[in-house]
Amino acid sequence: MNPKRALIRSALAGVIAAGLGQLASAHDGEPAPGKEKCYGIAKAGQNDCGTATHACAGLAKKDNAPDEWKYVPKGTCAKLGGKLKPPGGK
Amino acid sequence: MSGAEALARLQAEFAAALVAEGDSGFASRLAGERALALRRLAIYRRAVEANRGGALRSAYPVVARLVGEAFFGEAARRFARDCPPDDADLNRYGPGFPAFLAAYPHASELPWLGDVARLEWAWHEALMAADSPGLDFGALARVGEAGQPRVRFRFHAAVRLVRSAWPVLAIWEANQPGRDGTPDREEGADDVLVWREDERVRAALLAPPEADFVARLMEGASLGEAAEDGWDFSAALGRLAAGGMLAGFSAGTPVPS
Amino acid sequence: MPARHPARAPDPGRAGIGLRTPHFEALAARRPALSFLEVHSENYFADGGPALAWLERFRADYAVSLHGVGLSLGSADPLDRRHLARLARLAARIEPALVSEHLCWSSVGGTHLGELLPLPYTQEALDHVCARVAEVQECLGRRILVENVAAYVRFASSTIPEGEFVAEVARRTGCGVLLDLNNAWVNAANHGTDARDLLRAIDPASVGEIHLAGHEVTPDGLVDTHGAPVSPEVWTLFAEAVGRLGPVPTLVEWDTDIPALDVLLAEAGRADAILARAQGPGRAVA
Repeated sequence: MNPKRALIRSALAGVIAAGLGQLASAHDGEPAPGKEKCYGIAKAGQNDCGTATHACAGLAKKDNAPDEWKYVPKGTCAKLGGKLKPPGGK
Repeated sequence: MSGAEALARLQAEFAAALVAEGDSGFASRLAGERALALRRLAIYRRAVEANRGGALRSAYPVVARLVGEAFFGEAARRFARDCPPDDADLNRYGPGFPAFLAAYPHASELPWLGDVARLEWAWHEALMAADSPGLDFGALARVGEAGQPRVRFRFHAAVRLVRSAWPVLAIWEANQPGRDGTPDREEGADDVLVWREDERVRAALLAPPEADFVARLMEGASLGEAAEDGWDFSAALGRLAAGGMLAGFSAGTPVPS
Repeated sequence: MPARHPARAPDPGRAGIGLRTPHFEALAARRPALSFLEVHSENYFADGGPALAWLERFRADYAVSLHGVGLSLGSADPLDRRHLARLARLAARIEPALVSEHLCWSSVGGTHLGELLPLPYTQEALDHVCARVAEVQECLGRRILVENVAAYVRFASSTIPEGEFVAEVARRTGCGVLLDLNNAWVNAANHGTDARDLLRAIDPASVGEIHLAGHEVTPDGLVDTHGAPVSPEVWTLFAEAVGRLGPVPTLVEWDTDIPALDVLLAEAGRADAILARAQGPGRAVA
């Protein structure tokens, strides 16, 4: 067997063993803590606003005419400033 | 003009009046005093804009925080003018916003903004994706050794891989609620795997070979095609399986049962 | 298909509330007695994920009402079959006690405005919307309720009073009416008409649900924001309506500036007291 085939065989064996083991221990609550980040549970649905014409917490008190200052990003990106490094050779 | 045509025309004119830049003349179709009718029409105009902007703000909260309210509102308004919703469900509005931001001239000093938006849309889609069946490990165990390199996996509908030349995951994390917006890294070309597990959306940073491997599998490559000679992908495949990211497979040949 | 959930019907002597994300945790922990929970159907159209999982959890304990905002019943466009199919899938999954939509349009030419826009009250619009309601009921295999909407403008071409228009849709199609008393009040105030005309025009037997909500007073008129307590005028209208209709499943809607759950439950409790009085002396007011 060539090395690639051996690698595929052992990787699949690991997945299968873990998978069947997981099924055997079935649904015992929280998964093992991993390194990944996990965020939020449910977002507010966006269709709620549609029933409430005018809607969305005072965002629409008057017509939104474009002004020069609306083209200048404010917010937290100021913190990023020029600090982020442009892409090098990836 | 038939009744149906009259209704279609009235609605088309109404819709045009709600997004028109100036006076559309639609007030002539309305009852009551003209000045008041125009102000009432403006209630709808603002509501349409607010609903579209609100849908984008919900899908792209990090972008909104990064650029600030005024900038986001104007970008959303311009995006909505070019790409109004084509789905009645506002939760699905805005898949094209990352590309819009990437090309938005006023954001040219924020070259990473479109990629942050791509990550947010991936997260948003992961939240809304359909459930997928779990992988049939028993059937996978029955694939013979000769068939194993031909195994192609189907992914859970929530899995996304976002590849960026910028440290998008660091930027994204720094702009979650409770964080002050300062990323803990200022460099990096982040490849981010996004999936849903136990009703939560999760994200993990992948090293380049793992990202290449996952990208190839997601494009439909078989294990044999996706495996780089010499790189041990066991842990990578294990992560996908343990996270419920693999929803099925085909083995190229019939699987004996 | 066998039932996946316990059969539950709204208690007409009690009010329900809108189920909104900020209240998920508190509601699940406290499980207050409520007639039913109402959701915006579109927010649960995903065939999986946390929102749907929450709704399934609540469905085990409560009757659920699916209230759609996107079907665009009155649009001149062909009926949105994709949207309707999603609604049908959700209804099959949740087994709701009530399914409702709005007597309005929100899309034309394939573009969605995300707003509940009024129809001209003409014979042609009536014929059109009746055919659509029938189509939807046939597809879903059940009766739906249609809601009277807030309308900030009126069309010069309208020839039928709103109450007659709504009543006629119910009469012709067999659908029920979701009587929104805040919308009735907002329209009457904005257009100088009498909200009671709408009540009088509608067959009491057709009313399947009542909506109560708050509005905002602006220089341009009353606006149906669902972001404030129910106004005193609408409470009065509600007492009159249940006096005429008897107890009807009633919902307190609050969609913007969503308050703490207790504030919403207090509004629902106020509706409960009025509903209890409508049930006559046999039922004591708690």
